[in-house]
Amino acid sequence: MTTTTQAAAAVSSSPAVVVGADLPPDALPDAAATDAMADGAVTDTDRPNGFVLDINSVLGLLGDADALDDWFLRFTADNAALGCQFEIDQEGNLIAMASESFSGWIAAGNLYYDARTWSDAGPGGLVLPGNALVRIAGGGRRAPDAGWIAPEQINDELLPPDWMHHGIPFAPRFVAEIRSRSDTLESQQVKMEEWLANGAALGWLIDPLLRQVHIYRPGVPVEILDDPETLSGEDVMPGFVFEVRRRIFDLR
Amino acid sequence: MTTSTSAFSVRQPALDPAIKSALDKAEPPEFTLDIRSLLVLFSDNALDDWFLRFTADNAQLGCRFEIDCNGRLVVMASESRDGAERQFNLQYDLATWTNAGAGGKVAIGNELVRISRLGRRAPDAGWIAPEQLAELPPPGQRHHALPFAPRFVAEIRSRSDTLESQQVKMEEWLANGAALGWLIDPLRRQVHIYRPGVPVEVLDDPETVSGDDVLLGFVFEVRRRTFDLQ
Repeated sequence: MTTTTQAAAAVSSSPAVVVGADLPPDALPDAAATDAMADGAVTDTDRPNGFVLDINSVLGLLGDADALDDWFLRFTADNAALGCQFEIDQEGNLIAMASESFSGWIAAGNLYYDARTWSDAGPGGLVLPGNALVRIAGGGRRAPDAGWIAPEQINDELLPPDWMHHGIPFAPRFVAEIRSRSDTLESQQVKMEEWLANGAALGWLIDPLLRQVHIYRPGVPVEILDDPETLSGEDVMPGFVFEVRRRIFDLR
Repeated sequence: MTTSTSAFSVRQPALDPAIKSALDKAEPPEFTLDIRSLLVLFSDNALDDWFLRFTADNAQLGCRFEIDCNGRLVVMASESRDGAERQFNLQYDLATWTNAGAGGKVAIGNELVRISRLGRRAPDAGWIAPEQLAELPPPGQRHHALPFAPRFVAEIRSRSDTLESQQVKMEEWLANGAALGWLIDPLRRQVHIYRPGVPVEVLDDPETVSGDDVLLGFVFEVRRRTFDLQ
C-alpha cells in the first residue's frame, strides 16, 4: 500500500455539462459514444447527465433555512422525472448529477449496512443513507453517499425543532462519498472539502474506478490509499473497520 | 421529455423512415427543469429582472435559456455559425422590408418575450407591428420583456433543436397572439407555416415564402438565404 498527497492527484477542470472527463481511458464507459459525438452523429448518449446552474439570484428570496429546505424538496420532486440527484453547493450552484448506477447503490448500501451494524452494536447515533439533506454554509444543500451523526450531535440545542422534516444544519461527524462513473474526481474532492469546512471530523472519498480512498481529516493533508483492503474509523468511529476492497472495489 | 400534444394536423411528406427517425431525434444538449416553484415568487417585471440576472450569472455555460409556458427552464445550445447566418439573413431581409415602408421593428434572437404568466421565450426572428409598438413604453424605457408575441415570429431549427421542441414553441407563439409563424427546418429543407385557427402547412423545399397578409409584400428567399448558404 502506498500513500500520496492530494497535490499528486491529477485534477482536471471540466465544463459544467461534461462529466467523467478525468477518467483513465480504460474506465471510460462510452468511448464509442464519444467517437460518435465527435463525428456529429445523433445519439441518445449526447444528453448531459449532469449540469451546474448558478442560482444565487433566488437563494436569497426563499426566506429562512426551513423555507429553503421546503423549496428544495419541492423542486427536486417537481423534477423527479429527470432522474437526477440535485444538490446546492457552498457557492450557490445548483448541481444535477446522474443517478447512481446499480453498483453505486450496492456499494453505498454495503457501507451503510456495515456502519449501521457498528453503530447499533454500541456507539449509537444515526447512520445516513444517500439523499439525506444536509445544510452547509452559503445556502448549500448536500447529501452524502453515507454518513454518521454522532450521539452528541443529536441535541436539541444544535437541531431546529422540526429537523426531522428538513435538512440537518451541520455536517455529520463522518461522511463518505463513493465516486461513480458519472462523477468527476474534482467534483467529489470539492464536496469532501465542503464537508470538512462544515464540521466533519473524518471523510472518505472512495474511488472504485481508481481503487483508491482519499482520507480527509481537519487540518492535515489528504492521504490517498492505493487499493486498501480495509479502512479504519480511527478515533472518530472507534472500532469501525470497513472492508472496502471486498464491499466496494470487488463487488460481484 | 415532453410528449407531442400538437393540436395541429401536420401534412408530412413521405420520407425514408430511417432518415426521418434520425432527423426527429437530433442531438439535444437541450434539457428542461421545472422551476415553477421559483417563478411564483415574482411579479411580471420582477420575473424579467430575475431572469436577465439569472442568464447573466450563468453566461459562462455558453447556453441560451428560455422558460416555456408551463414554467420549465429550457437550456439550449448556442447557435453555430451556420445557424447564426440563417437568423441574420432573415432578420436582415425583414429589416430591409420594414425600412422600405412597412414600419414596426424587427425582433432578433435573445429578445425576451412574455408567454403567458410564467414563460419567457426568444424568437429567432420576428416582426413587431407599428400598432404593437404603440402599446409599449417609449423607446429607451423598454427595460423588460416584450409583453406579447410579435405579430410575426420565425424559428430556424438548428442541429441541436429537436423538431418537436420547435413545434411546441411555434404553438406557444400562436397561442400568445402571433398572426403568422414560420418554422424553418434547414435539415429537412422544409418550412412549416403556422396561422391561427388553421392546420399547419408544410412546404417542401420552397424557393420563397410569402408574408401573406401579415407581412404585406414581404417575400423571403428561404432557399437561397437559409437552405443553400453560400
